[in-house]
Amino acid sequence: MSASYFIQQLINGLAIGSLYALVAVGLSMVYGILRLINFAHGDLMMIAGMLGATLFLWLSKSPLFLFVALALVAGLLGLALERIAYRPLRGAPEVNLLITSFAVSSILQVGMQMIFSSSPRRFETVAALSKLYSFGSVQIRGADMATFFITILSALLLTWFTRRTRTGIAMRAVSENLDTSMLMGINPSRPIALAFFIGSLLAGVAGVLWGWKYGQVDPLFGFLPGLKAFVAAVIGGIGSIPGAFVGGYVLGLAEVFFVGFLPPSFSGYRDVFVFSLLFIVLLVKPQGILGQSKGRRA
Amino acid sequence: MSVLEVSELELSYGGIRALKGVSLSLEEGQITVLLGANGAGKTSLLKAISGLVKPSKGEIKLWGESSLGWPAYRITSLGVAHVPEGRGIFAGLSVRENLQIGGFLAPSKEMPARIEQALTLFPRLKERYSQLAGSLSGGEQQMLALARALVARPRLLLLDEPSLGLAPIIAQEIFRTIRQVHQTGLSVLVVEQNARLALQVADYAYVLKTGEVETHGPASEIRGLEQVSKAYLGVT
Amino acid sequence: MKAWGWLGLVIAFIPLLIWAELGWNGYLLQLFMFLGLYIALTVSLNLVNGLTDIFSLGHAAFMALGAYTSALLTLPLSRRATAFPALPEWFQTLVLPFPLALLLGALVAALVAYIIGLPLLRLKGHYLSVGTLALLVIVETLATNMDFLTRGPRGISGIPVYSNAYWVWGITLLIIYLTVRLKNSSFGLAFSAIRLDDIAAASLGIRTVRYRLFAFVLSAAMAGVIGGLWAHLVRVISPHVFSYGITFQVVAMLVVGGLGSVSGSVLGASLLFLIPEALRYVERQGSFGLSQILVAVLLILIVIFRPQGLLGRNQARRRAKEVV
Ligand SMILES: Nc1ncnc2c1ncn2[C@@H]1O[C@H](COP(=O)(O)OP(=O)(O)O)[C@@H](O)[C@H]1O
Ligand SMILES: [Mg+2]
Repeated sequence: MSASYFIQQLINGLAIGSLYALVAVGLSMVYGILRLINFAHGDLMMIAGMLGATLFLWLSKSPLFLFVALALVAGLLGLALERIAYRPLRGAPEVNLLITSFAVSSILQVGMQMIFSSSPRRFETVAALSKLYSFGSVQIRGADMATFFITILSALLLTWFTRRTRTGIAMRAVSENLDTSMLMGINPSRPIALAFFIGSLLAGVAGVLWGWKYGQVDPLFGFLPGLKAFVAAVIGGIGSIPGAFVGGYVLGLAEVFFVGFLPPSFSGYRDVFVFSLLFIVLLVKPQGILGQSKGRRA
Repeated sequence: MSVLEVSELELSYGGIRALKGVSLSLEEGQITVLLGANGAGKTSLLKAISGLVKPSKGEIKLWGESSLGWPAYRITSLGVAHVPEGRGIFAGLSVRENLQIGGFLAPSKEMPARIEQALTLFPRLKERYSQLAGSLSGGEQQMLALARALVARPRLLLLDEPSLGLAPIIAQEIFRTIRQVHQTGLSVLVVEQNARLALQVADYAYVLKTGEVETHGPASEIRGLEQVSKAYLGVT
Repeated sequence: MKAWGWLGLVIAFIPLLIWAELGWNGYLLQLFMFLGLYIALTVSLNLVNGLTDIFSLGHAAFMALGAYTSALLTLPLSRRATAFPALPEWFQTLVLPFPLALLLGALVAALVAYIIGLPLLRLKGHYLSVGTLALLVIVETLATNMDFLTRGPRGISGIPVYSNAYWVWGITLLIIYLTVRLKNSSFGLAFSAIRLDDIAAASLGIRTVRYRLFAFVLSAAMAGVIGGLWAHLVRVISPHVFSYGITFQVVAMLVVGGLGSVSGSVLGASLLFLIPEALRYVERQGSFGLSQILVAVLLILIVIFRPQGLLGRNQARRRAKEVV
C-alpha cells in the first residue's frame, strides 16, 4: 500500500465522515433532549437535495444563495415537524415518539415520490466544485473540500454557541435534565425548537453537499445515511455535539478504510460492517466516545 | 399574607396515591420544615408546588395567586427556587455554567454580581469554578445546588433533603448558610430527615405521614411532641 | 377463551376456508391470504413488542431468513444447477417437502434470534430498538450481496406455490392461539411485570433476560414461518421485500390495534391492510402513494390521541411528569 493511496482513502473518509457528522448533529441534539430517534431526519437532507436538483436551473447564477435557501427550508421544515408531530407527544412513552418519526419519514419519502417521481435526478454542480485539485499525487474534489470546511466551521460555531451563549448553555442543561432545567426558569420548548431548527438546517446543508458530491439524488436517498448518522451519533456519544462530529468522522473513516483495504468483492458489505460496529459500540461502550456514562433517564 | 397556601392537595402516580388532601401554609420570612418518613409524600408536595407534577385535586396559591397547572418554568419566574432531591446539578456543565443557568431569568448585566455574591457564601466553589460539576464532592454539589438557587434571588426557597448523604459537619454548614440567607427575608420550605438539625433552625414544622398532614405547629412545640421524638429524633 | 372456544373458532373457520379455496376468484383469495399473513405478522410481533419491554424493529429480518431458507430448500432441482452453481452437492440433490422446509425456516430464524439475542437483549429501550433495526439492515445487506446463496438483488424466482388458504390461516390461527395462551400464562404475568419495572421484576426472581430471550426467539420463529408462507405465495422474493417498508407497516398495524392486545393486533392488521387495498382503486386513477400517506397520518393521529391504540391496554403514561 502506497502512502498516497492511504492519504487518498483518508481524504475520502473525511469527506463522507463530514456528511455523517452534519446529519448526526441534529439527531444527537434532538435525542439528547427528547429521547427521540428521529428517523425522518435523513429525509430532511433528502428534501434539500431534491429541491436543489429541481431548483438549481433557476438559481444557478448563485449557488451560495441556493445553499443558504435550502438549508433554511430544511431548518423550517424541521421546526414545523416538531410543532405538528412531536410536540403533542411530549411526556408520552418513547416508543410513541419513535413510531411517529417513522411515520413522518414515510410521509416525506412518499410525498416526494408523488411530487417528483421515484427516479433519480441530476444535481447540477458548479465548475469549481466538480473540479479535481491535485496536491502531489493526491487529488481532492472541490465539493469534498467545501464539505470538509463547512463541517469544521459548523463544529466550531456550534461548540462556541453551546459553550459561550446563554441559550446554548440552557440547551445543554435541558439535554442533561429536563425537569431541573425547568426549575431554572427555562421553557424547554425553545431549546427543543432550536435543536430541531439547527439540526435540520445542518441536514439541509448536508443534502446540498451530498448532491454536489454524488451528482444525483432521489426521494429515498436520505434514509440509510440518516440511520448511519445515528450510528455515528451513538459512536460519538449520543447527546454530545462534539461527539456527533467525532462519531461522524470515526464512522466515515472506518467505512472507507473497510472498503478501501479489503478485496473489492467485500465492498457490498460495508453496511454490514457499519451496523456491526453499532452492535459492538452498544455492547461495549454504550455511552460512546464523548458521552457521559452517568445514569441518564431511561 | 402567606407566601404559600396549599389546600386539600391530592396527587397520584398511576394508582399510587402520594398526597391525600394536604393543606399547608407558609408565613413570609419564616423557615418551615417538612418532616416525615420515607415515602410520606414530601418530595411529591415540593414537586407539586414547583410545578413538576400535576395534582389531581386541591389548590396551590403563591403570594395569593393560584399557580395550579402552571408549568414549572413559569412558577420559577414568580420567585420560587426548588433545589430538588439529590441536588439536581448539571453534571456535564461547569460550576460557572451551573451558576449562570441558575440566573437564567436574571438580566445578564446583574449576573457577575449575583454569582460573586453566591460564591462569597461558598468560597469552596470559587476554587472549583471551571471544573465540571460532576467532578465535585457530594458536599460541594449540595453547595452548588444551593448557590445556583440563590443566584435566581428567589423569594421562596424549596429545599429537598439538603443534608442527604452528607457528613454531619457539612450538613451543619449547609444549615448555617440556609439560616444566613433567610435573614435577608427569604422564606424557606425545607424537607429534612435530620429532624434534630432542621428543628433547630426552623420556625414552624409540618409532619407528613402517608400523604396526610399528621401534625403541625411551631418548631419548638413539635420538638416536644412525643410521637415526633420517637419517630424522628431517635429518642426512645 | 376456553379450549372448546378455540375449537369452535377453528371449526367455524373450516367452511370459510373451503369456500375461499373453491369458490372465490383469484384476487379475492390472494387478498384473504395476505390478510392472514399480516395478522400473523402483527400478532407475532406483539408477542415481543406488546408483551415484553422490547420494541423490535427487526421482525422483517426473521421473515427474510424463513423465506430464503424455505424457498431454497423446496426449489425444483432443475432450477438449482443453473441458479446456484456454487452451492454444494447435497443442495443440488435434496428437495424438502414444504412443511419441513417451513419448519427449518423457523428454526433458522429462531437460531439467529437466539445468537443475536444473547448480547442484544442486554440493551434497553431505544438502544435495543436500534440494535434490532441494525439487524434488519445487516440481514438485508447480506441477502443483497451473498449472490451465490441468494442471487442478490435479482432475488429467487420460480418458488413453488404451496401456500393456500388452509396453510396460511391454519398457521395464523395457531400463532394467535399460542400468543393468547402465552399472554394468559404465568409467563405472560412475568412479562407484564418485566414491562412495568424490570428491576423490580428481577428482584422478584423473574429471570428477565431468559424471559425476554424466550419471547424474542419464539416471535422470530413465527416470523420465519410467515416468511416461508409468504415466499410460497408470491413465488418471487428479493432482499428489499423484507425491509423497512414491511417493518413499518407491521409496527403501524400493531400500534393502531394496541400494544399488548391480541384482538387489537387482528383488528389493526385488518384495518391497515384492507383500507389501503380499497384505496388502490383510487390510486389507479393516478395518485400513487396516497394509501401509504394515509396510513402514516392515521398512525400519527392514533399515537397522539389514542396512545394505547384501538383495543390496547389503558396503560398509564410511563413518565408520570408532564412536560409543557
Ligand atoms: N415517579 C413516581 N412514580 C410512582 N410512584 C411514585 C413516584 N414518585 C413517588 N412515588 C410514590 O409516591 C409516594 C410518595 O413519594 P415521595 O413524595 O417521594 O415521598 P418522600 O419524599 O416523602 O420520601 C411513595 O409511595 C412513592 O413510592
Ligand atoms: Mg423524598
